[in-house]
Amino acid sequence: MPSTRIKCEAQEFLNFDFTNTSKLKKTIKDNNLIIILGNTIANEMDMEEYLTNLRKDTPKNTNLLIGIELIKDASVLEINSIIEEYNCKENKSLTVSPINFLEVLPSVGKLKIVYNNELSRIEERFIFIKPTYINIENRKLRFNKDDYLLLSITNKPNLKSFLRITKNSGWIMIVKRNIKNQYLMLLQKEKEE
Amino acid sequence: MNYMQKIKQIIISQNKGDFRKTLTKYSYIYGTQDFISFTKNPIYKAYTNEVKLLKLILPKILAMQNLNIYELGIGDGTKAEYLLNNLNNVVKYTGIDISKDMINFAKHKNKM
Repeated sequence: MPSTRIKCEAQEFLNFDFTNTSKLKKTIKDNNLIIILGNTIANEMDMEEYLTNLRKDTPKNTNLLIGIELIKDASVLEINSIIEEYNCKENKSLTVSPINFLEVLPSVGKLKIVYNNELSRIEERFIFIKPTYINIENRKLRFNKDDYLLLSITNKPNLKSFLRITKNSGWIMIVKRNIKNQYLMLLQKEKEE
Repeated sequence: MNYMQKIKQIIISQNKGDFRKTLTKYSYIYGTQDFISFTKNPIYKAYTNEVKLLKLILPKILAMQNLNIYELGIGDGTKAEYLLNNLNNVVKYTGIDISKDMINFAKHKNKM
């Protein structure tokens, strides 16, 4: 039995908006299992781009374990149930934490959690309830009533869409298991030419 | 550019109608304690279900040899703790998170 070396480090492994796994590429070795749990992958703006780059940046004998919550049919009942999860005070506090330095905000807007049907994702928006000016970096930004800041997104594809994303990005499914809408998938890299 | 400057740049971009970047990752940096509380809230079912699912997939992972595991987004280290306690084929376990506070929490929890 090998003795296990354990290491923890703070590093920007996901750029959530644009994929950046280059730091990972420099350190990664053979016989890898990359683990991305807790719906982390769903916060990525473009999951297919991220998974494609992850495949390219890792050695051929790399496996991937992904945990993601998917949706079935995007019915009103299902979406409301998901939004209810996000509506708890802990998540609201978490979502607004990056803009707490904008002290004016509590009085000029409200956090709204919506499902964007076109993009199949949950969006957490800070919506302005009246015209507001905010000073940032010597700029005076004007926000009109109903303008919003897009604080967070969480992709909620269905199983078929997510399987297409994994396939298109060059990962082969080894096994998948689910409890209701929560899935855990073990994948391996497609053989490269 | 530090995180606060990046947040300001994103707000400036969004004010111009460019929503290609959001503040998601910064919420984990500035809201570490809220994130831990959120994942422990029973209403957030994904967390507990995922630990149950790990048990189901464990045999497949045990079949792999001399593993180097990289957990991207280790969070509070709960799942790392489970895997380290149940896998005997891991050479190296690297936990990575964007939040230094979260890393410190995971280290303390798992005595890393």
